[in-house]
Amino acid sequence: MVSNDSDVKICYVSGGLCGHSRSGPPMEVHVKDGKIIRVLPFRVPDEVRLYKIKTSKGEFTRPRRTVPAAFMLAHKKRVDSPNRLKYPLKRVDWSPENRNPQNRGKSGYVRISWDEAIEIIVNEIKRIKEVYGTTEAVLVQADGHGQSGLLHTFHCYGHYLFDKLGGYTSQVRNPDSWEGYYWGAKHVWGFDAQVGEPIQDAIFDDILENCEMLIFSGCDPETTPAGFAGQIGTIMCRWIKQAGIKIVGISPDLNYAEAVHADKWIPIKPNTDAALYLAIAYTWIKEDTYDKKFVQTHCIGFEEFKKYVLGEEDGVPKTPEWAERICGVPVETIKALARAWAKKRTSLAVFFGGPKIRGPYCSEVARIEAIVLSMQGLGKPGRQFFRFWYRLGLGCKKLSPIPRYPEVDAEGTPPNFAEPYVYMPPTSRSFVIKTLVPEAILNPPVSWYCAGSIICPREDQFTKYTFPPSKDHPGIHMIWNENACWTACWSNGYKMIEALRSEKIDFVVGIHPWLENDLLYADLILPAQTIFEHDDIVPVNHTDIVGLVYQDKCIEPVGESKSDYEIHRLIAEKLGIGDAFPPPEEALKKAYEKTLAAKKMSWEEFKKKKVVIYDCPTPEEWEEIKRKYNVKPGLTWFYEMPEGKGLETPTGKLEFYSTGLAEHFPDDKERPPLPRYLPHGEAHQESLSHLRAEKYPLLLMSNHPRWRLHSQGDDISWTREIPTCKVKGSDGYLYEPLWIHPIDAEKRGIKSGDVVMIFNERGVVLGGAYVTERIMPGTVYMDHGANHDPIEDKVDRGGCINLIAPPPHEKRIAGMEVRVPEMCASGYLVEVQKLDEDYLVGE
Amino acid sequence: MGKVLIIDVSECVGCYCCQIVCKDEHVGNDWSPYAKPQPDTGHFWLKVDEMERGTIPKVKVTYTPILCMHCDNAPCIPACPDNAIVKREDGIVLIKPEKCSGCKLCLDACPYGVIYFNSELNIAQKCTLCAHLLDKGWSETRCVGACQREALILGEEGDPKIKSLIEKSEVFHPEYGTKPRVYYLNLPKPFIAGTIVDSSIRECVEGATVVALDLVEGVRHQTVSDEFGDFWLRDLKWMHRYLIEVSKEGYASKKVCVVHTAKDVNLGTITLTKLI
Repeated sequence: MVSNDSDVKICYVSGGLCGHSRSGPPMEVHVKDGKIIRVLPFRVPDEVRLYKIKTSKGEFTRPRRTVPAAFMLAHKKRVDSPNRLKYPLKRVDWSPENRNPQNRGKSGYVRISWDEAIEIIVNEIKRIKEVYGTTEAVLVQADGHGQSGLLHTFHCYGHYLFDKLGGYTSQVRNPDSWEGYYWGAKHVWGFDAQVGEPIQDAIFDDILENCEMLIFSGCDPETTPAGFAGQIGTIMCRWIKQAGIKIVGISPDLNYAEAVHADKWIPIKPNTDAALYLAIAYTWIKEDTYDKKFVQTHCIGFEEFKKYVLGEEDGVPKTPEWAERICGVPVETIKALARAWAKKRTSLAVFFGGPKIRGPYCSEVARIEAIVLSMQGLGKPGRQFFRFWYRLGLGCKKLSPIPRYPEVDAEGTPPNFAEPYVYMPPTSRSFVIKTLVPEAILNPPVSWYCAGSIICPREDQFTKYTFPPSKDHPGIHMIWNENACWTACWSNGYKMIEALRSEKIDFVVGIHPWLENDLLYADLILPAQTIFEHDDIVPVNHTDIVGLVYQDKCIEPVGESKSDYEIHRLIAEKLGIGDAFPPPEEALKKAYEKTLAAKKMSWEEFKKKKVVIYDCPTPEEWEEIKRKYNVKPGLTWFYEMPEGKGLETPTGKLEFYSTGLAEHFPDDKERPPLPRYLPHGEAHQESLSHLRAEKYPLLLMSNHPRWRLHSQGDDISWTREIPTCKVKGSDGYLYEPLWIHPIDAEKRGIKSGDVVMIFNERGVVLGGAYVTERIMPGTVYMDHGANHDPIEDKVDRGGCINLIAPPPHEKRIAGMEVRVPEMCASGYLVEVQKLDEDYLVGE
Repeated sequence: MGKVLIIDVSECVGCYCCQIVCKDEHVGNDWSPYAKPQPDTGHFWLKVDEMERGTIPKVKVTYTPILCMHCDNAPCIPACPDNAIVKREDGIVLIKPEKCSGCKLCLDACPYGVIYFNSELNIAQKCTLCAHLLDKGWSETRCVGACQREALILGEEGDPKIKSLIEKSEVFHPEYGTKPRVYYLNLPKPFIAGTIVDSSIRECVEGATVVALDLVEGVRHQTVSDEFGDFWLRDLKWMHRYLIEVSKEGYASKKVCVVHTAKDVNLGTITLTKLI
């Protein structure tokens, strides 16, 4: 970059925290005398051709500078953060003879040697086989985000290891950030491989050319993509502004993107977007301003929907006045929004999903949103469902959202050999969807529909699964945890803690670089490494540029830590299956040789050159590529189909009335064939109109965190000084901010900086009051993922708010089936109280 | 010729990377004689100043990076009894750590509050404009290099491109009279916003004219409400009084009120009444 220090060694490391061997742009690390002295953003080399999105409004491109999120730039602080694990640890009162499961999280640890640790693990695995007859008694929790090197920080090897050992119980990662689209919108529009969200191929070509108004539906491109992809989101926002597109934000909070980019903010109560959408549909129907021809050719079930909207079905017309009482948006604003939406070419933007898509009954919100988008002709120029997306996978079908060579997307970077275990439907017979893990441990059997993995097809939502899968299955008795974030990032975390302390669980292994969250409840802990501590390949593919970087080891491993790969390799060797994990250099070379780069450069040359960033096509080539692949932006291809077919729904059309649901669950009141606004029901009671609201009168909402990637990076002292990252209590402790409007704060005698307790029946979480106009009255807001800091049973000081978020089904009892095993991490009832100052004395 | 830093506040989205990389460069690294290591926390040689503006639903956030202004008339220099603070030929103001005796007089002298005290080392410390890097040939400071939106620009004041930017910019608190070498574009100016509705039919009123008459300077500011009935009068002056008048053909025109721009003002919902 700009350095000419001769005594500084320059290394490149992964600059994203997606995990799954998918990194954003790398970072340039300067090392001197074995110490990291600085971390710089990466600059795309001048000889690399960047893309240009050519429109009549001008050409749009990115700067060569690629700046990661602040917590990524400061990731080096995590190398020696106070909770960094240096040695294998064993819980002091755990032994094979005396396991004391009830003391998990309480009794503390003692350092042991690697030899002892591996011996314990090997013996426990053998014991599990002897006692329970199968290693299916082991629950492997090895999914979700993390550091993003190809080989060494891939924290999902447990699946692979136990598969080789003859079986295990897989924790299947649910579609956590876009639940509603997956469980709901799929039944309207399909898009199985795109996780239930419409296809994003070449979509910027249409958005920047044709869109006039972009609705940020809880969408925060300044925040959500940054930890994965660097700050390409802010550049995309710049394009949108430069293209003259009006940004209207709809969310209970004024999120970070809306705070600086939105032309209008429409505050809305959590979980009520469906009511707003229905009133918009009502206005369009009454004013005759929807696309009748499109609805006729491309959609089914409009007449049923219309009846419901007009109140012909239930006697309640879904007027703006009706919606105002529910969602808090003034009647005149609803009407104005409906008219602007009809008049201007309007698209709806998310980054996977905002708070509305991770709340109770979000499946219905998403279905009604899909219907409303359809009513104006989905795929018409400038009328798209638009995700701030930048790569092929999980969003596109044939081509990237931005100009890229398809072969670069396909072969530019290597996948990790164990990756299929993470995204694909489970191959083992024994599995449980992640949201139901506590229930599967504590109250089996548990039955649910759809295996739940990210790319399961819609039809799988009609297949019932049960855990344990058979009568002879022993249930879960050992846990293999490689991501340590269930308690912080999934919902009803206190239930998971109860499960971790269950006497059914003989042994909990944790593999992670930091002693945090779930790991506090482990019996044996193996210290993993950070990205700075080993050679690796960085697959740069989780951003708008694609490339490969050879990552040099920057510093010596901290303590006796080993990489995820080395740890599993060591265990595999002791279990006699060492061949499953070839030597790292061999594995890396093999992976490299499958890439496009290898056609031009040998492995040895690559190791010397370090950085390969692939060229992007010229605008002319991009046009040619689109022609060749027969790609039109977003859903334009569907809009242009005269017979209005081609989706992955049973009829191939947009199904306002979902025929699949009608066939399989005709009497379901909570996800009926025709979606409805549902404030509360059997599964969820998280509404101000429910009796619970008398005791818990505030709705708590949660976003993807601004200063972490979920639970990653909460321990960085530099980000913790940022006012929206932590609030210093009078006791000096840095609390997770709880946003509260001045009206609600005053009612409770709360001032900015006060330590508050946020609670409901599920438990208590402490926070630091952040009194602000950025949250609407009646709603409070706390990012999820703050580090769990238990101080009493069901009292957390760290602000780990998902501990008190609702489970998929509040009143489930053993044996009952769950049709929508969704995660609800936003929009649930709480009360907030100022904490008595005496409470924390002596902490 | 000398270094200047230009900060376009309207481009800052509050990612805080400039604040973080300043720590990355200086915490744990000894760049003597330019600077001794910065403490891990508590110092902000570059601090992002966050300003929440307006009231719901007319709320905005503005972020202003604040750092040593490297003033040409720096009050910290004469305040230092040890002659530890020097002005370099390129305009950069440095506190020489080996000369500083820790008297803290410079902290009091600096009107911008950008000098910090390191109690462990007993010295005053502040932004060096990464002089240790520039002297090695770096083209930019760490903060400049960490801005995805290029809101921070480092340049030579003689460069014509920089000159034209300086002409459009202003300094933070010119009343301090310290001749800063840090210039700002688009420093936050107050807004007056509101929503105009016809409450008899619960409709937003589009196309209403909103005039703010500056009662101090007599200047008229005018805007028109959009399809949501929203209006934003921007770039007004702090601590002025404005007379607000709303009018639209067919409606009784309405003098709303006099507002004072001690802060940004959301007038909320303004009701217009149709003439019959």
